[in-house]
Amino acid sequence: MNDTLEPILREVAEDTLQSLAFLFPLEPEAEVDQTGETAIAKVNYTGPCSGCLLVTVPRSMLPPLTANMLGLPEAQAPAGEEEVDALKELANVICGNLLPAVAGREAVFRISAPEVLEASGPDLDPAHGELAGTAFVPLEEGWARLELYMGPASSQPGGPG
Amino acid sequence: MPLNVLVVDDSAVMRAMIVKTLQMAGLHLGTVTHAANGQEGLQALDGAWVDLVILDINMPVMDGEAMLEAMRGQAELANLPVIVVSTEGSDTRISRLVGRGVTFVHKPFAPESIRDVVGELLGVVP
Repeated sequence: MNDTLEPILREVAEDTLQSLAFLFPLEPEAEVDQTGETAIAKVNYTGPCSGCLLVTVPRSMLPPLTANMLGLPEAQAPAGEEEVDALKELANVICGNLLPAVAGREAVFRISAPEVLEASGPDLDPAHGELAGTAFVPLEEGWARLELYMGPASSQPGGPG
Repeated sequence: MPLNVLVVDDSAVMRAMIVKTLQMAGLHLGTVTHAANGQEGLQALDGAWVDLVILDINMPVMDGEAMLEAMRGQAELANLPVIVVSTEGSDTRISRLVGRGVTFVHKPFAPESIRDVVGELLGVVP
């Protein structure tokens, strides 16, 4: 695993969470409750390298994430499908911003539609490559964990969202 | 004069965010039509009066680039203002899109950027 990717992963995640969902990061060493159920979104990408990005968040963070993205009033709870869609879009935006930060702005990547994994331990096929970097981002309303898998170049269809 | 807008994005949450942003910008919206992919977007444009298309790139069925190409090939749609809202980070691909006459807004976007771009494109002052 490449430790130099950690600050890049962290910065992109923090910027996206703040801009997209008004979720603000705590200090990296802040302790947050990591018990409870989680939700995982996965985005596959191909290009100069190929792999996937996993974004894991506590399920308890999905309502504020979604409500903030949609600008819902406090009394209005988001629907379950909106929460799934919000998590997918979060992963999509993080991945789209992460890849040029890692590989440079000349690199052309294609990003597949995000999916939410049901299992707590995702099945990653070998085509998704090796774990290249991780980052854990404590937040005022939860936390987010990013895992970036990278492998050899590929040219399957897709495109950024 | 109210602005008729077509928002094409496979994420319902992102479509809602974009519409909210347009409303918050103080734009006078008329009919706002949603489409989840390029094919639905082209169908929505068939026979409807639309002033502005806000278009995602990565979508199932028909992506944004294919929809844009189809629009540019039809005389009545060729000059319709299009704002591409995407996570695209490749300068190569962004240049290609801009070369097709669209305005590019990067995700995540600040509400002001959408407001400013719409104002510039359509001469609308919110």
